Amino acid sequence: MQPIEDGERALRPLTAAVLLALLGEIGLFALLGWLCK
Amino acid sequence: MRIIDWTVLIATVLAIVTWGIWKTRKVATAESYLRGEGERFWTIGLSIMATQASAITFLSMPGQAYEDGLGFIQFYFGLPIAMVLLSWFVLPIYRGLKVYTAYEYLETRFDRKTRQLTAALFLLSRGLAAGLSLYAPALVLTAVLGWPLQLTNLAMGVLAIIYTVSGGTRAVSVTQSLQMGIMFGGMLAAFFFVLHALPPDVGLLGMAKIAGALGKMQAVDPALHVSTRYNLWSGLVGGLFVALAYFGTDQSQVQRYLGGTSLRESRIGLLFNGLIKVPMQFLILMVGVAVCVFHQFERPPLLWNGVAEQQARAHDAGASAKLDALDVRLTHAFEDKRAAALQLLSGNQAAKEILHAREEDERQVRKEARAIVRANAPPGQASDADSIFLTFVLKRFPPGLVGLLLAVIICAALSATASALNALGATSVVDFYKPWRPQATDAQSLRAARLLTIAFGLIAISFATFASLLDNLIQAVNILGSIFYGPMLGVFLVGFLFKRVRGTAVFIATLIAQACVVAFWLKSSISFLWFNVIGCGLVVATALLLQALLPPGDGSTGAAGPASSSE
Repeated sequence: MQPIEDGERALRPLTAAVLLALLGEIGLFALLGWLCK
Repeated sequence: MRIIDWTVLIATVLAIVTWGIWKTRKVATAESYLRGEGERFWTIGLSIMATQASAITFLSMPGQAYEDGLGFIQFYFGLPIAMVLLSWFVLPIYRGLKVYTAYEYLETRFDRKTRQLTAALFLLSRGLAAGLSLYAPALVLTAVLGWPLQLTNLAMGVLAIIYTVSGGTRAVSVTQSLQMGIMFGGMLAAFFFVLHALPPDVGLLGMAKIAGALGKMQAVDPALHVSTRYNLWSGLVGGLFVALAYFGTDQSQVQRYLGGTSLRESRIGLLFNGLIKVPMQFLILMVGVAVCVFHQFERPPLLWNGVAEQQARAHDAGASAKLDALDVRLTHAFEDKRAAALQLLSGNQAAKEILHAREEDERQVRKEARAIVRANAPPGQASDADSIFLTFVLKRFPPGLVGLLLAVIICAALSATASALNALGATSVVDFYKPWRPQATDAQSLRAARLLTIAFGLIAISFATFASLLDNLIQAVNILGSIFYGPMLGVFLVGFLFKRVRGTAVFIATLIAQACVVAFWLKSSISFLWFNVIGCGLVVATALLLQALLPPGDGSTGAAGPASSSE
């Protein structure tokens, strides 16, 4: 049986990047809408 | 279309198909055909994106942004969260069990009848959708380019069948990486071309200013209204549910990320999709916004589907006269808008109100014109909004770029169809053929997988061929998809979250929920978008209730859960 390979250590920064990118995008889109009103 | 466009289109599409077939020429076992041969995260990520991006995405979304602005982007806000949840909690379960299809998990967790019921629901809904992924773009290509509808269906369907049957899952993934590159590159080129085509003093900032005055730049609506289809909250919560159901239980997506070289690669592939998806959809919507700003300076046509307009005019002289009158109104609105846009660029903020008011006039004119065409043209026409982008491409883009943009649309149609056929073939072999013929050899399973993929391909082409006979086809298939997705997600959620619920309870709950959703569809006026939530909720609630009522030990349950997440 192969050892457990979860790659979770590498996954944490990428997960944080995905969620932060989403937050940043929502913020950026909201700012864009406000600036272009 | 010019020869250079035909050359770019045919060379791009055939080169990708040939590359896919050549690259996977050594696929000779059922294992490699069904699962692939170990992909890296970028292939998985691109393949996932290409599976979701059907041709109608590229045809319809710029048109939607042209008319309603960037608000549709909110629908994708739940997707990155779904990618995180799936990569952390669901993918380890699938990979740990070494399953080929998502539905195999259900036999380990519940029993065979639950697995096959859910797999059958998938075959039915995805089988119909595969036909639509051919028919919908063919309809627009026919309307705008005058291509023969049935031949377009047949050519795209046969191409997708050839390379899917040849190399299986790996052929789909390999071609999708290239197809996604073409789609991304094509849309980027389109955006910069439209930007370049604007008057010299407009530029990116001027474009944003005019689009903002037209109300097209409002991407985020934080108000919590149940009546508005897209707002921040419906995007985050509703979009999360849709993405969880689609990416977690639809085999056409599950098959893409199960083929990773390791759990880590599959997980990163999913997260890669979560990172790229929103910016990519934003780019596609911005192309539509840019086209809209372009038409503040160049008069747009009254209707974008010229074929339907001509048919309506030929059908009734009265309708033709009404369309002429509307055309004059459009010209007046356009001239006012152009003057207001130029004033706005020179710093006159008061021009915003004129621009906004005349935009509403133009919207009203187009609404009336579309109603006239609907009443006078034969049924089964491509929608006018879906024709905006392709008509613009053909009229305004330079030679070569037209061919590239058509290649984007054909690549998207092929990639969506190929992954659907691949998943339909795999599910019917793994979840029905193998349990029925457990003694079948690897060669027999491989042959069955190929034959079933061909069979589903032919069904999809036939469905696309006769689809024009049905009225409201696109809506019908969207409704069918929503009817099945809810109960499917419910079965998996019960499996992941409620360990005490067993097979018989969830099987009966699925049948009850499915019957209820069909009854809601037939007898109530509830919007079909709610069927996902209702179906899912009904399965969970009914399964919990039934498990409490059924005698202990009834039904079967497996040991598969998050604890078994090893490879």
